[in-house]
Amino acid sequence: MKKNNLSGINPAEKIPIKHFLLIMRTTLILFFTCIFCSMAEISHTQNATVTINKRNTTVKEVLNEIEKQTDYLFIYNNEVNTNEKVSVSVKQEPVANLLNSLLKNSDVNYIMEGKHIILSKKDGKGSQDLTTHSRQDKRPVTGRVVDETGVPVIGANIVEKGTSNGTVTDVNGDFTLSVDDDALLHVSYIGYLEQDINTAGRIRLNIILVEDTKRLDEVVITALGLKRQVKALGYSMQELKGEQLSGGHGINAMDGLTGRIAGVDLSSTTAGPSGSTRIIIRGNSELSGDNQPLYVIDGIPMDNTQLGSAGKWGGYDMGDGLSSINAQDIESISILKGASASALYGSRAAHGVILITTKTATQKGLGVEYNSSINVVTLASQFDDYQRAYGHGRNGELPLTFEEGRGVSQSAWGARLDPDLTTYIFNGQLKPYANVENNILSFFREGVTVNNSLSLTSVSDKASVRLSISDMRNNDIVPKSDMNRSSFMIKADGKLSDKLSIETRVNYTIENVNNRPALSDNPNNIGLSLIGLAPSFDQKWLSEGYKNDYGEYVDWNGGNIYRINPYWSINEMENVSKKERVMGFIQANYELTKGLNFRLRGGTDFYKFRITEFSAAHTPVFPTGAMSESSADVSETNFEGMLSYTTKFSDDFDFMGFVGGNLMHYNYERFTNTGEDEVVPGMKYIGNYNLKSLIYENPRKQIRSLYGAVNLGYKSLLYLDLTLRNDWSSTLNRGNNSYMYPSVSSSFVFSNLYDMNGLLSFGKLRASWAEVGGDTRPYMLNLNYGLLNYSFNDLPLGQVSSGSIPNLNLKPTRTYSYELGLDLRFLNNRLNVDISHYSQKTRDQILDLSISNTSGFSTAIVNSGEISNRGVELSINATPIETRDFSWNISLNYARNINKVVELHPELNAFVLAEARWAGALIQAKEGEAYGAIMGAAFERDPDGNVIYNNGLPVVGSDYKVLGHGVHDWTGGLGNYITYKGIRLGALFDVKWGASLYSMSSITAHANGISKETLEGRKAWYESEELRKQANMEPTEWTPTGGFVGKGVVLNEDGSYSPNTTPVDPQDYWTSMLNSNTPEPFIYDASFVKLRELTLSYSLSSKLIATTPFTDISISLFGRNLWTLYSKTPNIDPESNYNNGNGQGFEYGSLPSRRTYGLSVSVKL
Amino acid sequence: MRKKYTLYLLITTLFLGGLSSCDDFGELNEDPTKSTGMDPNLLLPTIQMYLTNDFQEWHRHMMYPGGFVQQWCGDWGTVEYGSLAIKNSSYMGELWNQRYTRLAKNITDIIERTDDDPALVNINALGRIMKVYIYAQLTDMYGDIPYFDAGQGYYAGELKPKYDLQEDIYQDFFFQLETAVNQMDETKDKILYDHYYRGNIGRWKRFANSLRLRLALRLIKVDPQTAQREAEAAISLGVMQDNGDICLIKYENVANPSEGPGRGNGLANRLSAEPRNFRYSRKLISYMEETEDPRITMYGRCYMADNTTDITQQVYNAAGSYELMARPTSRFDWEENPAPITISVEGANVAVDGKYQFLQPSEWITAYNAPYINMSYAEVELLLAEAAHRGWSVDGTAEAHFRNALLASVEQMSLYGIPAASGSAIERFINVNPLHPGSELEQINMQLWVGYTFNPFEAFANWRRSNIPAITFLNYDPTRNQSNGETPRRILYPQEEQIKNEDNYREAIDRVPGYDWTIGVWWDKN
Repeated sequence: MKKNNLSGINPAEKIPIKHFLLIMRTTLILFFTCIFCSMAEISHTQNATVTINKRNTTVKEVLNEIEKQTDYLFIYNNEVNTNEKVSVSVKQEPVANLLNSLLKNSDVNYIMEGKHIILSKKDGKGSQDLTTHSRQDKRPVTGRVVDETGVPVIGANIVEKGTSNGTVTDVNGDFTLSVDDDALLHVSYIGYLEQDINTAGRIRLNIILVEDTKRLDEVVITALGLKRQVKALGYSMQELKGEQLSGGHGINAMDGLTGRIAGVDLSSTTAGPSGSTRIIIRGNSELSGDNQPLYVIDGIPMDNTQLGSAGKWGGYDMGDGLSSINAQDIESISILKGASASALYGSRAAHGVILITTKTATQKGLGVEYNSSINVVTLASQFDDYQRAYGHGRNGELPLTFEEGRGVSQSAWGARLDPDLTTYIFNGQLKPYANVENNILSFFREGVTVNNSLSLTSVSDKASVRLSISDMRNNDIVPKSDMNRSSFMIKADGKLSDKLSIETRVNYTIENVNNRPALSDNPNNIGLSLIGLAPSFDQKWLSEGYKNDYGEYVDWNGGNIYRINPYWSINEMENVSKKERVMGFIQANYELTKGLNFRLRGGTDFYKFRITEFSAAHTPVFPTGAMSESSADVSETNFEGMLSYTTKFSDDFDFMGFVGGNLMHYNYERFTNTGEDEVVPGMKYIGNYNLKSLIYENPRKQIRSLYGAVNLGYKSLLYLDLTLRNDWSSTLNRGNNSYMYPSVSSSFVFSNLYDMNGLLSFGKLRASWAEVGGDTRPYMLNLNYGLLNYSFNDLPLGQVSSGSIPNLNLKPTRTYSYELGLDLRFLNNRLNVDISHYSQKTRDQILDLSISNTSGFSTAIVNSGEISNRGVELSINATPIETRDFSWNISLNYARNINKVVELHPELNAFVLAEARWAGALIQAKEGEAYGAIMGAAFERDPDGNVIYNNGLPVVGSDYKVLGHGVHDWTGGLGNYITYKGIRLGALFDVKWGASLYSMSSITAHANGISKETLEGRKAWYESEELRKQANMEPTEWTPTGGFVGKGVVLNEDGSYSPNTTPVDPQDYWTSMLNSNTPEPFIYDASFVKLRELTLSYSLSSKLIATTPFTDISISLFGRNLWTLYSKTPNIDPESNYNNGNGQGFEYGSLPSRRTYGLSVSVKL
Repeated sequence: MRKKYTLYLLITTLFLGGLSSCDDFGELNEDPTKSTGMDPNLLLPTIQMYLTNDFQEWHRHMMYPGGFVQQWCGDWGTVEYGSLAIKNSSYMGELWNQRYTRLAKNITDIIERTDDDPALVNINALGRIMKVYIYAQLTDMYGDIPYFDAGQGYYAGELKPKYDLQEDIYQDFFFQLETAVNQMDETKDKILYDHYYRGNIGRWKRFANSLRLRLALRLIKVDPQTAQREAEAAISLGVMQDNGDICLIKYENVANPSEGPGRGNGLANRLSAEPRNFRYSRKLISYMEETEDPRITMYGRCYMADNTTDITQQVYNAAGSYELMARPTSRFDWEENPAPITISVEGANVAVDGKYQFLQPSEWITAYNAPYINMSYAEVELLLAEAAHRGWSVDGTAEAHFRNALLASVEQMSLYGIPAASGSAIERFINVNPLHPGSELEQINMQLWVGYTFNPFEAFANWRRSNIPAITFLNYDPTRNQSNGETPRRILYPQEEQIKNEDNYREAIDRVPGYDWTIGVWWDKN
């Protein structure tokens, strides 16, 4: 038969491995040729003619000749006798005519089905009988399975769907199986797309398997926008498709990454949707700098500057670049984790790269897609799990007068609750002294997010265009905080000639945020003002009379100006920000000659960010009113040229190489006007202030780069990539500003060497090594002097403006890394395992070394320090059940990173990453410890580890100790996806384990007496006080009969220890903890397990929508942060950060975390 | 074809070469908003302003010193930390961190850049004087501190300054002041930007000598000989002669930005912040009342809750004494408030809550443009009175200097814009307070204490060297008290020094057996 002739190989000689290699090697080229050929031929098959001149030959021979000259394939079984002798002489005769005459006198009938011609025995019943068999009986079906090149596929699985009836193909690719009539055959073979073949009316099947390019030749976008096959990558990279990302339906496109990718750790602040996101890939490697990956959209770097964040003394999270991206526009996100993956991007990619590819038009003709979703945002954390026994007051007493009442709004050390009692509150009203349900939570509202997006696509022969418009509106849980974002995108590509193609994209985004919530120690942080409200104090009371008739602030808490009445905060203070952003690029690709391409690209990310902040007059810390308006223009422009060459040296060797250059220019200009001393009350205009001052900042930076790479492939078996890049940075001194980084990576597809009998479908070993350099911020080399932004008594004010000791001789930072990985796919991809081990060392760090303030500076810029990160990443993807209608998929990822600060500085081994508001706690990079050690003074302990007490209070030592770590030991995710017909149910669990959190909210809750722990000893102490008063004795004369007895020991005069038995007033105990100068009692385990995502989606079957103009309608229900299975942090979410800096592990005044439920609908035309 | 390839390669090379052939970025890495060689004169006004323009001066002035010496109370922080003696590492570090980074850096810069320049002797001398002023505050508070190596992070690359002995530091203070006075020369460089004396070299010399006198007397317990020698030297070189020599800085009538530094008086900004809880202690007011001090109603007034309606007289009429119009010493604003009273304001009867029946800082003291007095002529006269009383070489008698001091101290209140006291009131104040034999030191130092009400650093230092006034620590919260029921005698080093300057920090605390805040500094020898 033709198959044999075409392949030209004797099947008996072929061993499976060779077969496999052959397929692999020729896949890409043949794949396309085949498609083109088949498309071309279909058109003339119908009119195919043959010229045959044969005498005394067999029917079989004639059929063979027809197959040779045309695309027709004959299918028939043994019943058909083809050995009859015939003679044929035709010239340019249509096949049908020939067959008619050839078979006229035989008992054989034929049917033409596309390219197939089925022969059957007439059997006296006519040709119909061949295709319609009895329904009761099993009937045999034979067939042959070949690949697209016609090579038989050996060992392919043939299963009658819905049964266990099955077989495998033999060495010729043939099979025979008895099946029910109308049975569906499920044909599968590793590396090929599975097929279901309808056997109805057919007895002989010729099955062509199409290679699954997604799996084996899965192509991903890598550095510089190059498309590479996964098998050729010598480093770990992971890709998520847009549809996987939108499963979270978060406002921030990156939310969908949470818990999905091993070694990628996401966190955000409690600021909510308008806030920023911190993504750490494979641990923190730098002390200074943000440790954030580089974001690249369609090949153009995006600026992700954090526009403002909260620190020890408070502030706002002004968001970052990520919030400007509309998730619906994302086709895929690739994460380049290791240095090798990102070596081509240069210094900014030392912490990995997140490559975002936007959607392009793929569908012929006009395509329309519309998505709409609505989310309801509620409170997720246990924010109000406080004591419900004692009300506001002090010393166990009911506040009796108005003055007393006003002083204790945030002190729950009062009397036992009694609904029959009433007290005066801050506004002079009398209120019952009873438990108020939801006394804190009711401050917040239910948030809503509505997202609509529409895209139009069109593809013609020479061009494709995609247009999208989206609109997002969000009302946060914090009253008056809202956000909206509109984005417009157009992406187009086209061939201007056979050799010249261009591609372009423009994004325009407008983002408005009103009233970002204040965080940390900001006096208007709502979280801080609410924590501490006694159970008897309804937050709603604060809304009544927070200002007097003259619009003046009314003291509500005994003069604590650092805790503003939250209703004043939301009504009399505001911040409004607007960001307009244009991101885009234009690229031209010219094919100089076959294989040799020149690409020229220019791209920009330009945005304008403007924020105004307003505080009405009488705001406690701005008594005369204040306003500021700040406007930033930020741009990053890149120009790139690249010449690449692709060829095959022989059948066995592939080659790709390129050289390129890039010019990056960054410019940030910010004007900040501040006005103080309001003239016209409430007029929100900077000219309305008597005193105005201006700050102007202008960091600039340029990086020039040259780079090149060589990629070699051998027989789909072995791949080798070499890259080299050199950067010149404007931030370093001439002579030190040039740095080169090489990388080598290799992959070995060992599964191509042996046949694993289907057990191991694919196996790859990868290894890579890279060195990456890094520069620093602008203007770090010289001592700078600046003028203050105002004059004083008409005199100018100058000062040394460098906060850090400059360093003229800075050298580039170096990061060395290697990675080993194993990618294994078993049982026809039913089980995939990917393991990576990596090690990374960053040396000569350019860091702002924390130095003693007595040097006059708080930091010094030095080249020093070494940080190592070693780790293991594991991803498992399994499909335990897969049938036609039902499948169950599990994906699991785990990442363990071991971080060590190997060396800091020859003289100083302190690097402070963050300072806490309370107890002098620090987050430190300490030599010999992991990054992010939480440091502070600790309780003194006896040799057995018991806390030592004195006078009933614990004794605090003065030495700093490591009390915890702010970085998790390991992170993981577990996804379960169940599909039944058009219904898909997905659940994603997210685990982060082994970090600590210093909760300053908890200090406040304890000191204010609302924490449940503060109940211990109250009753006994108040009874003791009663007795003392009855005895008419002074506290110093009295021995308390009860109270809070701390668990620990006291040091006796003889040096021995005995248990502490001294009762103290619990109020004294816990308020002393506020000033105990140790964070120890409030450091909690920040490990958590959360049900991060739950999605139920339903795609309407094509039958249902057949009569509608839609091609797809799907509906999904989803939820985020639905359930915290494990958490040890009281009342706050363990993920509560107030900023995304390097010093993670502090929490203060957090807002409740958000839980989202939603519904989305997507339709396609 | 080959030619074509060559051409392509050439184009590419040129293109890439054009991008990156050069490592020269011109001026791109120079901050357009900054200068690399600013006139050192421009740094002086900033140093002067920054001493007291920060909202957080409250932490430095009031929280500990103002509470320790029982001048101030009412305010939560002042009572909690100062009056009840509770340690808070953050607040204890405020003075240290601000003075070293904001001020020491700039002072070092002035001195370093002018030290060897014979044409810039005056600005150099002013740098030295400011250095002494600032480091004296630091060493008096903390004891041994980084001094000789301090502020040298840039010029000497000194990242871990060692802690110098206070004794050595004081020796250098005297040396620096003497050097400064000797080198100042009106014919040399002009001082262009000076908030204290507008470049008046004569006044600067008198301030430097007066400062030397203040520091000399500080050594009275530990080294009376040096105290006398330095005091006499300072006096002979010429100290302040009238209220025109007062070292003060005028602020602008501006509210400072949120909690930070600004053009307004930092302390006044805090004292006037809503709600106003700061009150003078009964100990202070009763002494002033006892001495018939006309400054009582200049320092303190009673206002209604609106902060503007002055009801001092009505409350006085009801209370009968100023003593009762002062909050009990070391008590919070919610403690021991008297019952509301009803008074008549513009014909209407209004109730006044207890809190408002206590004297609070007056509208002049809390004005944003209130001056800040670093050193007054009245203080100098009191120091001279003490020197004279001790029999040191001083022109004039102790009595005469004491009278001068009383007069000057009342008259200087006009600098705040306060209406002058009547001549008879001043006369009476002077007449009822002659120096009584046997109680001279007591009277002189009590007047220093009263005069230092808005400079509690000095009140605290002067109390430690003189033991005046007698202070009984009011241990209202013995459970939480962290000073064994005594008034602390120093402030502890910032905890982070342990991490950033570990060896030197350890050495410093090891020099002080049982290092704690109840142990006096070197000159505070018991």
